[in-house]
Formats: sequence, C-alpha cells, structure tokens
Amino acid sequence: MRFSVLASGSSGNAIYVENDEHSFLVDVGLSGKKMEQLFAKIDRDMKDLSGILVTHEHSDHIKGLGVVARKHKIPIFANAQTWNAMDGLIGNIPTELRFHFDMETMKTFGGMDIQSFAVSHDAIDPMFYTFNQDGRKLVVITDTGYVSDRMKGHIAAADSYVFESNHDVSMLQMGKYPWSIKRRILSDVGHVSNEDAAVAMSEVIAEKPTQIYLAHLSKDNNMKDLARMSVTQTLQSCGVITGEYVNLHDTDAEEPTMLITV
Amino acid sequence: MDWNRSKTIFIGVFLILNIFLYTQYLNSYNGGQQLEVIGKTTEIASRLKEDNITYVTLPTNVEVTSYYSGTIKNFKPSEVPYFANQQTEIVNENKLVVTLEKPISLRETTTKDSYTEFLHSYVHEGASYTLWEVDEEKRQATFFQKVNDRTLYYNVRGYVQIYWDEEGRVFAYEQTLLENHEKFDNKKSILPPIQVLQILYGKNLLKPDSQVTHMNLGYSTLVQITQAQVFAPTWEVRVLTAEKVEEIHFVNAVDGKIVDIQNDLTEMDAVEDTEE
Repeated sequence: MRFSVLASGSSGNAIYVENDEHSFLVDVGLSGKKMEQLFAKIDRDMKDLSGILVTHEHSDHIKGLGVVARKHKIPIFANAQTWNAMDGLIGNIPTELRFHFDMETMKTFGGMDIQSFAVSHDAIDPMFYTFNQDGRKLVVITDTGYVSDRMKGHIAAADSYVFESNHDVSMLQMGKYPWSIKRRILSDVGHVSNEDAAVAMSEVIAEKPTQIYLAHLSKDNNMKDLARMSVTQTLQSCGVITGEYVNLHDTDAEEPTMLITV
Repeated sequence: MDWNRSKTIFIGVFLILNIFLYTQYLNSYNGGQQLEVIGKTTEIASRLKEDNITYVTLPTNVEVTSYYSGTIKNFKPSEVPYFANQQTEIVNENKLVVTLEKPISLRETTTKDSYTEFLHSYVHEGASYTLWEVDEEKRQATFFQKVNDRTLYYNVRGYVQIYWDEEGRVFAYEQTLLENHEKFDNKKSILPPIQVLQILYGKNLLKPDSQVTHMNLGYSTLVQITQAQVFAPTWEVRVLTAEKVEEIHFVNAVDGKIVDIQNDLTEMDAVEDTEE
C-alpha cells in the first residue's frame, strides 16, 4: 500500500492511496487542472483511479470533485447526508458514478480494507478513513475539532498517519481572524491545534516505526517548522521521543509528498 | 467595388487598431500600478508632513527575512559556566543570578563600550547580547539577546541585567539564555518602514509634532511553547512626542500588527516572584 499527500491545507486537500490493484483519492479539494498537475508530479494518471472517497462537503475537500469525476468517469463514495449536502455544489453526477459509503462501515478493494469513521467537524456528517492491507495501516484524519475515544479506537496503532495539526492556539488567538471564526476553529467541531493533535497522537501510536504526516496546517495560524516543533515537544512531554520510532513529516498546500510505502 | 480587397483592408485596419489599443491599455495599466505605489507613499508622507511628524532616514536594506526559533536554556549546576570571582545561583532552572566577589570597575558608565566590554569578558555567551537600556538612577543596564544578529526585544528568557554600585563597579548580574536558534524555512517579505509608519499613524500612535527618531528591525516572541519559542521579525519604532517623551512601538514586520511587549520583563519577574 502506498500513498501521497497531494495537497493539504485550507486551500485544498487531496490524498492519493493505492495498492497493486486499486487506487483512490481521498477528497478533491483543488481544481481539475491543479489535480492533473499534482498527479503528473507523482507519475500517476487520474483516469486510472478506482474511486474518490469524500470526507465531507466543505469546498476545500470537494472543489474539483465533480469535474474530475465526470471527466474521468470515476465513482464517488460518500455517505447519504454528505451526498445531499453536495447537491448543487459539484454539478450533476451520473447515477452510475454515485456510491454510498456509510459511516462506520468497511469496504474491501483488492485486499485493501477501507474503514470509515466519524469525526467531529462542522459539516453535515463528516467522516475519515483508515486503510488496512497485509497488517499495515494508514490513517487519514485531517478535519476534526477533537479526537474522541471512539476515533482513537479506529486510528490506534497505525504505521502511517496523515494527521491534522491545524493551528498554534496563540497565533490563532492573536491573529487577524474575526472572533466568530476563531471560536469556530477552537471549538469541538473545528480543527485540532498542534498540541491537541500531539496529545491524541501520543495516545494512539504504538511502539513500532510510525510515520506521521502533519496535515491541514493553517496558512495564517501555523508554520511547518512551528507545527513540527510543537508536536515534537508535546509528544516528548507525553513520553514519546520523535526520531526513535516516531518520525514527523511535513505536507504542503501545493507540493505533493513522494509516494510513500506503508 | 472589389469586396474581397475591401474586406482584407478592413481586417488589417482593425487588427492594427486592436494591437494599438491593447498596447495603450497595457501602458496605462502598468502606469496605474506604479502610480498606486508611489501614490500611497507620497500620500502618507504628505499626511505626516501636514501633522508635522518628522522621521529619520528610513532603513532601506531589509526586504525579506525568516522566522526563527530558540529553546530555553536550563542550567544544571554541573553546567554553570565558570568565571573566576563569581558566585552563581540558579533560579527556576533558567536564570543565573551572579554575584561578583570583587566588584569590577566599569571603564565609565556613560559609554556603551564599557558595558559591552564587561559582557564580553565576564558573562557566558556575552557576545550574543546587545545593550538595550541603561538606567543611571537604578544603576543597571539591560542587554537583550540577539537572534540572527538582531535584537530580540523584551524576552524574559534572553536577557542580561548588570548592576553597579555608586563607584561604578559591577557587583552582580542576572542572565537567561535562549539557545539552538534555528531559521524557519519560509522567507517572509518585510513591511517597508514607511508602511509601518502608516500603520502607526492610522492607529493614532504617531501624534502631531512628534519625531520618529529611530527604526530598527529585530525580533519579538510570536509563540511560546513549553521549552521553545518562535520569534517574528519586528520593527522597533522610537518616537519622541511633542512633550519630549520617548515612546517605543513594536510592529510585527510581516503582518503589521502592533506588538505589545514593552513591559514583559517586569511582568514576568513579578509572576516569578509571586510563584517563589
């Protein structure tokens, strides 16, 4: 199983996951043209996709969804409420491309088990995914206000994480956003901060080599170096020393990571 | 009439006309852009002039720089730097309070050099601090640590304060230290000084008849996490008011926000005293 974080941030999110038989995209938060460019950078072709897994209906996750799916005739998977919420946002999707992926269910594609799980975010019915194959596990969780025990159960002991590390709380509090937005981001249905993400990570990672990709960093209220430093220190204070068996990696809003084998 | 020929002439004429009009449009657009920048600069300059606000020659050599981070130095007793004639006490792990068994005479208390000499000779990592303020009345001088060779303003974890007696002899100093300075990858554009004055003026922090006497780019603490801090490029603007009172304003040099850091050292000391 391999993956690449094609783009991550409030300007658009898309994560590519593949095994030897199938390939999926988690969200299409960038324009079709931009998606083509990102795929070219990882030497893959969008027309070969087996499906697109939608997490929720926010524009930074579905901006290019309709265009890409129609152009390449790619099946879209989302839960019923998200389908309803996306109506009118992604254009007309032919019936043969509409598929349901219910909350807290698992689907298997060529040996890869994909499990959906609920997160706490201010969308209609948001969910993220874990990918399991041959005892290896990838977790994608990039939009949640907090990490509940139920979520922790789903995401525990993975080999690779694409984990939200959205903001630094003091940067957000001092920053230019209106108070209503700040309150929303800091709420239980907003986004997790660097520290909160690290605390959650410390509770779910197992004592084995684990790669963590810090994702969905706020452009205005975070920085890659700060996120890494903050997560490192918080993990350390929770007894997890990065560099020993846990490694942190950056993601970018415009540049894909290389294809990483889980 | 030869319609084919007429048609060709018409097409040719309109093609040339279109190219001409497009060139005119581009010229006027580019001119407009330049005018806007010049306009903004001259507008604020003339408004300052109207209010009799004068300013020194503004720095011109800084356009981009980076954020930095540093970690708080915790001193272990075994790691306390040794200097002859010094008794050192570690306070809260991160502050050295040093007493000189035999006070050391400053060459003179009126020049910056004599303080700097003391720092270089008797203080651990002394060269990484720069003189900020001398209080003749209290007989103390405050040095701030440097980041990227620029002053890190009012950071309670990165300063030296020296104390001297009535005979101009230093008898004690205290020190905190931020180490492992690291440059962040992303370079940031720095707000031009005139724009910083515009921000201060817009917030009524530049009053009529005042003088901007000094502008300097340094750093201020943007984020504090347990053992580390992130430093943001910050403009220091010194203003002499009409009443001849000096005010110092700090402006985040990336996003233009006013940074309220002036009393940090005092406040933090007060907190620490209370905790003790």
